[in-house]
Amino acid sequence: MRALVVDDSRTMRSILSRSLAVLGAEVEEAEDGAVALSRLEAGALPDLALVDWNMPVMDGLTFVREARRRPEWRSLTIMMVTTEGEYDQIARAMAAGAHEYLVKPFTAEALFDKLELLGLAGSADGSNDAGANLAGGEESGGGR
Amino acid sequence: MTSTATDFAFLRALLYDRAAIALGEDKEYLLEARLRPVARDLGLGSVTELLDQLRRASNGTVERRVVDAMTTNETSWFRDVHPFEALRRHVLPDRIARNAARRQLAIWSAACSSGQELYSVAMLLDSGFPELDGWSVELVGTDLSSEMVERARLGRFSGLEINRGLPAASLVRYFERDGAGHRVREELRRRCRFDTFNLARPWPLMVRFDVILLRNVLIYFDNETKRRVLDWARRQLAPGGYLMLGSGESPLGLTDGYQPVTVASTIVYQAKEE
Amino acid sequence: MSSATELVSTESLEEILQEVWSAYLAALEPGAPRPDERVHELTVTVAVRGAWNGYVELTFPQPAARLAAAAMLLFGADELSERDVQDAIGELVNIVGGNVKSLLPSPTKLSLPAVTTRLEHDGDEGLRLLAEVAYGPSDTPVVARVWRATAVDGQEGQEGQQAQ
Repeated sequence: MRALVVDDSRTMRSILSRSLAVLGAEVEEAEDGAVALSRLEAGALPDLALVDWNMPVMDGLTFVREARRRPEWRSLTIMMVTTEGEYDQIARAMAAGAHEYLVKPFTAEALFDKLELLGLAGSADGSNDAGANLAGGEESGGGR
Repeated sequence: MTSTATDFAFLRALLYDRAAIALGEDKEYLLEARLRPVARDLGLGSVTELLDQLRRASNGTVERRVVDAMTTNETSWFRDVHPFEALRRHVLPDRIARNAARRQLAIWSAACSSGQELYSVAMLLDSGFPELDGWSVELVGTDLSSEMVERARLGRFSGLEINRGLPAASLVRYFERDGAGHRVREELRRRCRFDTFNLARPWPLMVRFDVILLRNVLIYFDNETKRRVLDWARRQLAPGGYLMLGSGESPLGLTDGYQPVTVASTIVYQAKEE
Repeated sequence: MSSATELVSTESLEEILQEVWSAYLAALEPGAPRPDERVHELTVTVAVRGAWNGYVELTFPQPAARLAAAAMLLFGADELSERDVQDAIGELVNIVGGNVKSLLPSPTKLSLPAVTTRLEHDGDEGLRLLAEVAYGPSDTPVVARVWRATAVDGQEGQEGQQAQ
């Protein structure tokens, strides 16, 4: 799996990269939404983007909206990883097109559980929208 | 001093041999995190020392603690994901078709712990099966521990617990904030009933269930008890009802009362009809 | 005012700290600080602005800040630069602050974390301490405080609009 970690905190980028590396993922990092977009434009599309919300230059919500506007990036799974924990914020992110959402603080196991929901870890049987199925389908913004 | 790869290999072999738990290779990071508190509790300096003790001589009490430490905190929502896919795609449609005239459905989470499993089933039914509107649906969760049953009834979970496998859309839809944590909304809570129950002692009279979830609890029983529980479960199931076990668990070799059915990358066990 | 006090109770703040600790700082080994180290402290703060105004503050006794950063990053404490340490504890106060924010009326926004001196009661912003929790090793606890800026509330009109 190839992943892009987007967060303005080096500490959080390090924690996420390390956790993903345990799964054998190749990880790139970006410090804000604008850098993240240019990384996506520049190279091969990763499978997963973990995106913080509050960042300078371009915040995570804006990045999600921009990324989801591109049909050629439809296969990119986007999960927000943020301190924004209010249900309204979560709903906004899902409506903008995020596939999943993780509120800090989180353990490595929690991250892996979410990836399993997304069909990106554990014993995936190709049903990538298990999470969407469990949540009832119409709630998830991640139609693919 | 941190543990080594040989420690991990030893632990995997131990867990498989004693408790039929297949610990994935990617779980090595859990070794330190889970066993260091156990080592410290026993006055040992490191996880390696702890495992050395077990290497030298088998000690039931210490082994139990090691197994518990490696398997607790595994409680999560929609645990292992695939069994819930199996419920959604095959088990529930089958039972709903079967019960179409009676319009009744009964599901038992037989080692419910703090309630995540039963609430997960409740969420699955609510979001995926609108045809159950007007049916009599009984959702029962039981556990040996009255403390766990109290927690399950309350339905309140911390942020860390919520993060374990709960789809974000489900959080927003079925929960409400409760201080720094979250609580299952009342309209979902009231559909679930929780009680204490000792699986190892003779079972009281109960309804027959369409599905019994008996996941990751048989490992705590000896073979004789396992056999008994599996036989009682078969009799507690409606004809053609389903038993669901934890990943890696199987009734085969202990009883031939079930027919394995593979669906959604998992195996469910259908009670053979007499 | 009293309703805001209940929103950010000591219990809630303690639960938040316990979760942050459990998730990121479990590897922190309690260590006895040398006597002269006890005097030195590092305080990081985030400001909350909007429908509610105040601060969330974390105070680390040295060398707990460095040890916390090491625990989060899984590096040896000696391998970290000052920048690494400040980024790590800045992220910690950001996470604690974010969880406190979820208890408060919305909308509010958090400022970027800043290394500061400890906050004091009253002053220009009319600071009142709402909750205070010490967490971690008993001889070198991390102290979290939530302050309400009672004199700022009337001014929040303009800032409160921007976010949502």
